[in-house]
Amino acid sequence: MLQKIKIISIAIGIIFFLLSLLSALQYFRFQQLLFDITKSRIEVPADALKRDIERSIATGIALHTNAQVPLMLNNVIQNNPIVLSIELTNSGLREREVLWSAGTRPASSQRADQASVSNRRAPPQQSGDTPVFVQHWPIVDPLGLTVAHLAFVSDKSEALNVASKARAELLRLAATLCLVSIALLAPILFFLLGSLDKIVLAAKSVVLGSASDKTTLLNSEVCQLAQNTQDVKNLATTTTRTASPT
Amino acid sequence: MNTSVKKSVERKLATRTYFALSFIGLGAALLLTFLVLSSFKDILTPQVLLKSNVIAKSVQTTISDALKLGIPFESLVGVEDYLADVLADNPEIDFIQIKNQQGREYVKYRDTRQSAQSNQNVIKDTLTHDSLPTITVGLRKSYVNEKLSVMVGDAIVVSLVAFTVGLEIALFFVVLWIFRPLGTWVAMIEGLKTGRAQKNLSATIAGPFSELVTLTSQYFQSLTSSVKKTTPLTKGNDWYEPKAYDLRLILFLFVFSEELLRSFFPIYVKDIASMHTLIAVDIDIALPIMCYMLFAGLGTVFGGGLVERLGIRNSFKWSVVLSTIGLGGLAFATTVAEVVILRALCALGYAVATVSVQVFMTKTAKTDAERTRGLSTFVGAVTAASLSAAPIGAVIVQLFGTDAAMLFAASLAVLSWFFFNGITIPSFENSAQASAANASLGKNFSAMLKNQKISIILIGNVLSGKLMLAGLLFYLTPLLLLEFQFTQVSIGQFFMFYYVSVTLGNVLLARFVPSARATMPVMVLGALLSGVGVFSLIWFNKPEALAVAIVCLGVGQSAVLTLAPALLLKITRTDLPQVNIAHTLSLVRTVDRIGGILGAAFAAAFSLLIDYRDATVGLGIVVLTLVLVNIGLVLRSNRVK
Amino acid sequence: MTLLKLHRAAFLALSYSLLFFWAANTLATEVKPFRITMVVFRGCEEACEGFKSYWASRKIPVEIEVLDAKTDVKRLPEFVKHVKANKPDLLVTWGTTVSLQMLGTTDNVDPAKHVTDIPSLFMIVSTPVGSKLVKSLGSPGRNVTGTLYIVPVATQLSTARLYMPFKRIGYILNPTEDNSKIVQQELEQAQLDFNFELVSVNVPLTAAGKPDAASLPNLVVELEKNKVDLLYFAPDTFLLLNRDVITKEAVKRKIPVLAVSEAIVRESDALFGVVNRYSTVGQLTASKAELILVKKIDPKNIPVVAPPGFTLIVNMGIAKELQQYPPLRVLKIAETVR
Repeated sequence: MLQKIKIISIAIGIIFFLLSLLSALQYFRFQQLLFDITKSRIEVPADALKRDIERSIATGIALHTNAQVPLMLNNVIQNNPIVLSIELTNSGLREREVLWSAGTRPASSQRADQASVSNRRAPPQQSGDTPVFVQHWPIVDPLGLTVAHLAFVSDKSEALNVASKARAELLRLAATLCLVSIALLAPILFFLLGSLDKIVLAAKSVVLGSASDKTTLLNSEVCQLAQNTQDVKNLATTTTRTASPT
Repeated sequence: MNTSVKKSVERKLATRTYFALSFIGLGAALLLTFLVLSSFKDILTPQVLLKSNVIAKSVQTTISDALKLGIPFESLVGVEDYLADVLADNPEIDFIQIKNQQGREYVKYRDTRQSAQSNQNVIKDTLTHDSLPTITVGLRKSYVNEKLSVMVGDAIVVSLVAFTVGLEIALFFVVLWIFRPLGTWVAMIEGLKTGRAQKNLSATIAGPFSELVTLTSQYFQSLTSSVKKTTPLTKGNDWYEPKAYDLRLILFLFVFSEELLRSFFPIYVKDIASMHTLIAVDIDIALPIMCYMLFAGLGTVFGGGLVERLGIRNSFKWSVVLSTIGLGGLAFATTVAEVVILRALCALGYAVATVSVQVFMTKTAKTDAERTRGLSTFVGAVTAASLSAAPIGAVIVQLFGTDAAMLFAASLAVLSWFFFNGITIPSFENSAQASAANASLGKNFSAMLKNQKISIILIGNVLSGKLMLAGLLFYLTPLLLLEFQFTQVSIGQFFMFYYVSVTLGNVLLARFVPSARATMPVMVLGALLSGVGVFSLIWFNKPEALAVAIVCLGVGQSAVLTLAPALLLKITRTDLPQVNIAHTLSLVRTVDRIGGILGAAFAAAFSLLIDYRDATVGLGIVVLTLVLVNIGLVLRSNRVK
Repeated sequence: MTLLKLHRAAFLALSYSLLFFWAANTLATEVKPFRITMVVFRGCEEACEGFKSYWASRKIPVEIEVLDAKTDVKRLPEFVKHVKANKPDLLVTWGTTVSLQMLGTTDNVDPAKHVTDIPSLFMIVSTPVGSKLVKSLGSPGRNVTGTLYIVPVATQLSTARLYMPFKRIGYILNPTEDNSKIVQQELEQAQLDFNFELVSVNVPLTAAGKPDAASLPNLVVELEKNKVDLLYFAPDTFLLLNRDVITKEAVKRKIPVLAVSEAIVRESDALFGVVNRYSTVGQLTASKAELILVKKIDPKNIPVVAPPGFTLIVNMGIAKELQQYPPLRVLKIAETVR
């Protein structure tokens, strides 16, 4: 009985592992897709803004003196509530000077921006942090040189809410299927392993020298082995009697 | 166990249990995928609608700007062309309608056959404004299905990964509870028959047959005490004689730990190189990979000798130490130089560990069939680890970061040692053989390469197969698929064709081990199949043809990877008895690595001169030319007959 | 022996000290600014300003001397002498007339009359090869290079086609100006590719052999009789000076005008223009100057190029008058003026 329970536990464990891994991987794929769709929402106004800024550069007005730019940035923020802040920075490699900005850039966006692509350490979420997407676009002048960068910081919390709902749904489905699988598998295995008990009992009785079912003997490899054991024991006993001085 | 008994109760039970587990497991996975995707569709659709709302606003702004410039609504020019551009940029949109308060409208449908009739497969989103025209955007319901359909392919891959790992775990328990106890019992029965040795039960026997083993052991004790004076009994070691499958989980864990890095390692190196560039970023990314290949090659060449000198247990132990330091150290590396050094350690550890395990698996075999099964076990474990590790590594990185993934890999390497420590390693050689093992590596390699049969097998089968693998799968397949406009995710799925084919081929091979006479033809057939599949691209320049080529490669390689070393070991045993197993396996793996390097080189050279499709076919021609070398083997064997 | 060693030590110490102070002095000395002389025809306009602003943004020290001819060609020989005397690091010339007067042509250059020994750059020159300022755009062939400001004809026509379909293009040819003839030839060559017919009318000459400005409105009428869909306004100085007359007449006759420079759209009544902004041209010229001054590249190794992008300018007031509004696709990329 204990053996049967052990085997069934392992089988259930494997099913549980299979469904858990599948759920985890499916969830991460979904999350990626969701984030891509959310970010593509920002691309529509961002592309339009980029075009407008580049057109203004083509007029010859320097970016840092163009008073139209902050109006353009504010306009985008007003029309797109998901966008938290927009910054126009110069194209310095290390330290970027902010030329114009609109909206309030949350503190968490600095961390999100600095987080490396390889994600060496998963950034710890501090309480009160607004999770954000940070997206960048280069601003190119008519000569084809990158003269500035446009950084959009948009709210990720809505996407995360949706993802958490999806996660809850996924866990619910996985748990249900796990239980259903266990409910199906356990009785089947219990039934199948019943024959294992019979085999072991029969083999044990053979090894102990008791009578046993011949049909089981013929069809079972283990019982055949038990019979071999018994035969060798009998042979050894006979040899011992012959060798004994009594 | 007497394997010639067919349809025994135990076999029926094992088959039924396996099928029950697989059916329910995979069925649950399939059902979960189906239900989850339906649920995801309901969750994603509103998100896509939000984007269509943004598009509607953008269109409204454009129209508004035109109207502000003084252009009357009815005089707007090129509206259809503009809307066509918007539809082209946003594949989820089915139609866009612009309507002013006077009822004048402009509308553009993606499918020109559609009219103003309502389409059931479209969700409408309307943006109204007091003074501006109303914009209505139609979102295709099928768009979300199309996005999610990519996940179906993923789900299949993921199910495969999870099933593979689950199977390895199941196999471990089968070995622990079934094979080992029965193997011990069979050994005891043999001992009873021959009266040979008083052996020990050093490890606790678990499982349903443990009681039978205990009973027999008790009987053995009583027998010994009553006849010890009459029957000379010699002292020996453990009843259980280790088999190849004992190391399967250990090998799986070790290789898994190494392969875990595959999905994210280049990005990790790029990140470090960007911050602390050694030479140039592009070169710095390649440095650890090149160093790994170099040290893996060196480790392979000298690994055999090391295994013979230190013994299997010690060499595996030191491999684990090197790999643990290498993998764990990567979590703390901050410069490219450190990464290069640590990868060198990993490479050495990997090379020596795999040689140690392969030596163990072949030395524990008593017959050629067992040796083939042993090598098949080796290939199976490595393939299973290669198949499953990368996707799991990607998830760990997402959850916990790259450094945590590296530390997890290191801990898996340590875990493999933990399991290894429980295995009894019998002493394989007597002192004469041990001194023979100290014969120089160079002499043995030279002797083997001078043997015509060995050279033919190495060039015509081992080298050619690896050449095709490296050139086709690792170099040309991603490039061809990019030409066919596949995404990165889909490219990863294509790789699975190879691993699945190898796994299935391997299972068949383990089940139906070819006879001694059939081994060589099957191996040559495998080599031929590895190269011939690419010719389907000549007639069908399509992804399906590439898939066929990859499957042929996988099936072919499943034969070559197992049977080539088996044949080589047999030949060295008969023709070159002074050469030990470790050196033989070292040579095979060295030629294997050379084939990998040549494969990439050929693929790169061909790609420079001709297009990728033709380069693939060219590679096939090179491989088949090498396979033709096997004719020498066939002629030799005919001559012998 | 010891004395010798002492002498050697003292000599070495002195040498090292001198070397040290020289190095320190070199480092301590401020980098001298580059000296550039720019000769312009009608004041420092957008191209000139664009040229100047480039250096500040690149933080390269320069001293720019602007010599203004104030549309008087007679001043140019004095400027030649001035430049020869002052020997700036670079000479920049504005416009075809100034460039030819200051630099000569590839087949007719006189060191006494022209500047030959100072690296030179030209800008706002319509056809540098046609004017023989350079041998070819890819290889200038002498110590002179420059930039293009006219958008290639093919680009203009394909952009124009975005705006409106056309079957016939009208062209006013000034027979006294080479630029005008060269552009006419380019348009004739483009007829097949763009499937249109070129209708040219020649400006009659006065008794003095100059083009007759009074005849211009009649030429527009003639083009109207020939049912042209579009009037191509050539980069011709005479026509530019009379642009108001031509464009007003064209609007009256409901003929849209395609301009090659932005002034004709902004300040006159051309409907639209496919142009390179003068300020962009100035900046591009400055980037070539940087190659010559900082990177020390020989001008004969610097090809003559145009800015990579162009601007489409549309006059919405004229569009309304002509009832020829720009398509939405064009509006999204165009700059509009009223």
